Amino acid sequence: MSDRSGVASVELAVLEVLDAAVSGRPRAHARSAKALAGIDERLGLGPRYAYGLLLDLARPWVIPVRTVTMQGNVGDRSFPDAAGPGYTECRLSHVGQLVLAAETRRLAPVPVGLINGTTYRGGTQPSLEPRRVLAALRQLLEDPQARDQEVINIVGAPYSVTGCTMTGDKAALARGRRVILRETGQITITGVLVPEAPADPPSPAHGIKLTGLGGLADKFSFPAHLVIESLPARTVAAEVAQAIARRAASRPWSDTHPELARRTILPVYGVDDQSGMEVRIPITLRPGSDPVAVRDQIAAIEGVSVEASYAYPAPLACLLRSWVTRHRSEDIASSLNELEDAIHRDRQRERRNR
Amino acid sequence: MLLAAVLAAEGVSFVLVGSAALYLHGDRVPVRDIDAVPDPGEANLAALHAALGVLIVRGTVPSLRSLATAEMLSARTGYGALDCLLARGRRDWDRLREHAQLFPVSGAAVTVALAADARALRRRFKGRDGE
Repeated sequence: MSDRSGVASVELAVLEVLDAAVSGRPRAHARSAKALAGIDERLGLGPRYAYGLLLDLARPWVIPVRTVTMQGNVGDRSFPDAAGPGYTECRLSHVGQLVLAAETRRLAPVPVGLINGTTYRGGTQPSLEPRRVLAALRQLLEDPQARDQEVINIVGAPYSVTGCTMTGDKAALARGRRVILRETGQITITGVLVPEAPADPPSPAHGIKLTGLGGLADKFSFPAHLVIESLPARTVAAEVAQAIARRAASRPWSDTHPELARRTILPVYGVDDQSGMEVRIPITLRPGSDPVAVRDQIAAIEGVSVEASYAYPAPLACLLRSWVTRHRSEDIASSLNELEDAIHRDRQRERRNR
Repeated sequence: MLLAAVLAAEGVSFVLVGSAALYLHGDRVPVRDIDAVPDPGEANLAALHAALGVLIVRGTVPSLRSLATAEMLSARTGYGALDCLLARGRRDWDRLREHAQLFPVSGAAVTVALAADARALRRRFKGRDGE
């Protein structure tokens, strides 16, 4: 792990290969296949492994601050498989360029590793909200005696890059303890009224509009009572839609185990995965069902919420304080400003390209 | 815990071990997944295979041959993570089953290992803290 950017060694090497692939022309894209050949030659990391890494560094739903930007089909929340590397192009993002500038001492260090954490690559250090990290570091730069609690209040809790809710003992995490956190997708109750149950309701086995790939409703044109609007990064929206569809169908044991059926079988009439780069899964409920109860049932489905173990390598305030202390002799005020600007420009570009 | 109840309702014969079993015995341990020792009989593995086909949300359903030969199977289901201790079932099913007790879980009868067995297997497979 580099101390000047916090970026993992293998990722740094990938950025250097990308920089070399466009021969110092930062706005030019390199064919991903060519970049992967360069990565294989330099690191011995084969194209199959390296392509996944490259995609992760560019995907806005995986990593808070992207160091790579890609053109072409890099997959989406519903169908995450990207087009082959012969059909996509890549280059350094503005942040990626800053990382290389910091590593080659053309710029003071940038806290990219602090922001991104390691969970996006299977580690335990959570991501943090970029602007809040920058604000906390600026505060420590201005006032080295700032109290730990003040710093923690500024930097905030672990950040879900997909906008999910993180719950668990965040205070213990900030103190440097290993904790289990639950990340739960956002499910909105639309306010559309659910019709009252008919006097003689049909069995859940009948009348469910759940056909086609992933169990999605054909020609979904029903009013949505719930909408899933975010999911954890590694959750595939189509799989969640399929899981809900399966849970909506009655099972052979539904009559013999009524309590279990009541707790597990979802009163859902239709589910439609409309996700692209953002998650959107409208759900229509059966007459007589309670949207709040069904929302809670859906939130408990594996994938809609996920549990994972998180830990900072040190108490969070110490982590930030030591970063400032280590690099105080350099102009980190400027590098923080440049990083903020680069993040902003990368996000603008991503919005334009959507 | 719902996963154990659903598996039982689907007709899979298994003994619940690990943290979920300890929880049902009254230990206040966090339950993050379901550890099940399935009956290694052919008919039961077929029932397990069919149930997994309904429950697994990510990945493919292992073949019957895999269920009959693999040491362990980890699957992500819509109700949470499931670890099937298949080799343990082939070695130890009769003893585990003989000492197990039935517990009602959401209206389904779940077969739960003795606390000592559940604790031993949890330690054996997941370390002292069950992590």
